Amino acid sequence: MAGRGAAVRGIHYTSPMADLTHDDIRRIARLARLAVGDDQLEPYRAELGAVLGYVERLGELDLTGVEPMTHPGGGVSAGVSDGQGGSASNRLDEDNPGPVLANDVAMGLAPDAKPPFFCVPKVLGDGGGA
Amino acid sequence: METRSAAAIAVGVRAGECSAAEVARAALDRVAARDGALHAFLEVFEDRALARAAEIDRRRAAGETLGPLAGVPVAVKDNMCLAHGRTTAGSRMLEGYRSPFSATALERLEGAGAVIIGKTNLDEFSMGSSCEHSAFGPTRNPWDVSRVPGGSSGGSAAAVASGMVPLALGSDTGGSIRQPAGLCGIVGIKPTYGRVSRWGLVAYASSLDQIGPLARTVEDCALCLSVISGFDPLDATSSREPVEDWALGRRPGRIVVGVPGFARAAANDPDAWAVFEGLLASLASAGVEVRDIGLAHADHAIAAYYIIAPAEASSNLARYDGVRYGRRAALPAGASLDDLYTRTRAEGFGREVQRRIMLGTHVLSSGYYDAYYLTALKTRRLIKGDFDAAFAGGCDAVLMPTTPGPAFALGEKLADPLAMYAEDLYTVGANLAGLPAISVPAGFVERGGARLPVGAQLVGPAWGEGALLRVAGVLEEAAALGAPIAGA
Repeated sequence: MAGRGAAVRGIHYTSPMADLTHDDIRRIARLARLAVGDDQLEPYRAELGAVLGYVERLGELDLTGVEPMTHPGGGVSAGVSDGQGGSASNRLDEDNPGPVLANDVAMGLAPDAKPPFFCVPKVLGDGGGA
Repeated sequence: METRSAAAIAVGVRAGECSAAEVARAALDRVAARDGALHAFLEVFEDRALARAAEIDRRRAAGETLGPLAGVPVAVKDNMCLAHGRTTAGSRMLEGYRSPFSATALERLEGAGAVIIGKTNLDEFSMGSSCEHSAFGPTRNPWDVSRVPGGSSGGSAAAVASGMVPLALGSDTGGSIRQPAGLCGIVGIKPTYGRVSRWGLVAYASSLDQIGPLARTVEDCALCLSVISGFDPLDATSSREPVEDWALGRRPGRIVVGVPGFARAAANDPDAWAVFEGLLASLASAGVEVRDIGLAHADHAIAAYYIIAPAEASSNLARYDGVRYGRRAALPAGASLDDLYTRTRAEGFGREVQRRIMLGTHVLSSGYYDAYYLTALKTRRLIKGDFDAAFAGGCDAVLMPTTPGPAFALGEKLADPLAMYAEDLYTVGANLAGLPAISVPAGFVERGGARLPVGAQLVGPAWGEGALLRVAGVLEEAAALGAPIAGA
């Protein structure tokens, strides 16, 4: 857990596997809604750990006072400039209704549907598992 | 063999010197003859292409004005929606998906008279630098079929380099247009972020993705970019910056290009670097001032990119849930909604996509967000600042190799994700900074008896596509390669 603590305070150490555990992989897979079998825990630990170990080089940089840049601006340049080449706000358009996908066309793409409903496994009551 | 450029074809069709129908037929014949060995295309729209071409010929006969791409056969990366055929993004997740609408860029292409020949192969959801991560098998490099074409727009690059079509669309999130253009010996441009509408582009990393053209000449890229650029109310990041006819670019006066020191330090292929240095010498002879510059944080671009791009991907790809469209896993009786999500996603996504979703999920998760994601966003600001300083210091463009070396062998980098990610060393900076960047063929190196192309990349200031394309034209002239077709 020492590695994890260090990561929380800032990326300032270098380790080839970034100290991920199999429980970490289970936690990440659960958050990502990916079924990951036990036989995949070690391969994922090694692969993700290698990448995380590599990106820890960002810890070499002095980022004091640097504003994060979430996007390059682009079309949002018409919005409020943050004075640093990015933009502080998204483009705001008039709220005008436009053409939309017809309901039956959208429902027709579903793997299982009884229009106007999408069908999924039972969620509530007996047998509901979500 | 079709050696004409897109510009020449459009002039010929408009003047009635050739029919769009015969141009389309010839392109389809070339695909039939060559694509068996290359696998650049995932789907070919023969009937639709011939019908569209016939319609262009009918309109010409009726005296109607034809568009700037009249009769030009175009290939389109299969992560752009077309309301015809399949749109797979190279993934089992979307294997049977048929889009009910078309991407704005494709509507503009067709509105200008282009004839879409088919959809091209890509790394799944554009995640890869070799086209080997396609769920439908790899594309091969037309200069040497034992090698990769680059990626993720590898199918589009191979289709153009082999002369099957003169023009293609790709998308570029970390180099996915420029890197395959470089490895296939053609031109490819990633426009300024916000220049081309992403409506109908299958999203990968939304603060980085841009659509752009690949062609054998700078002029053809300019011609196509002028057509697909411009404001689109359907894309909230689309810009109202004015669009010009960039194909009419005049030769610029004094040109200053800056070569960053990190490019030399990172060069690990002596042959490829020698080609780049040869190009620098040619540019100097042509009166271009070549300056040494610093891009102090360029060494950290890949690290920032491989936090930001997976983070955004993990969010974008959350939409593939097996409920509304795309694949759904077969489930045993009694399975839960959670089983539906997790099994569908484990079955539908390939390994590299799952790896990036996991990475992205991790760096955004509670307790790790500041350390990874926020740190990467701050680094991104510094990387953009380096480019801004180069332009403010008088450089018209930053010049560096497109890739560290020539095309590598199929399978060579598959087992080592970090080796594959290193392919993006020179290209990710422009995406992080949102700047336009173009790869132009620089020359060839020899590998095992094969001639393999390598590219040079120019990065310019935001919204400066016109000037960037003009400088690229000078570079194209200095390299003097003559837009060769692979295997011709």
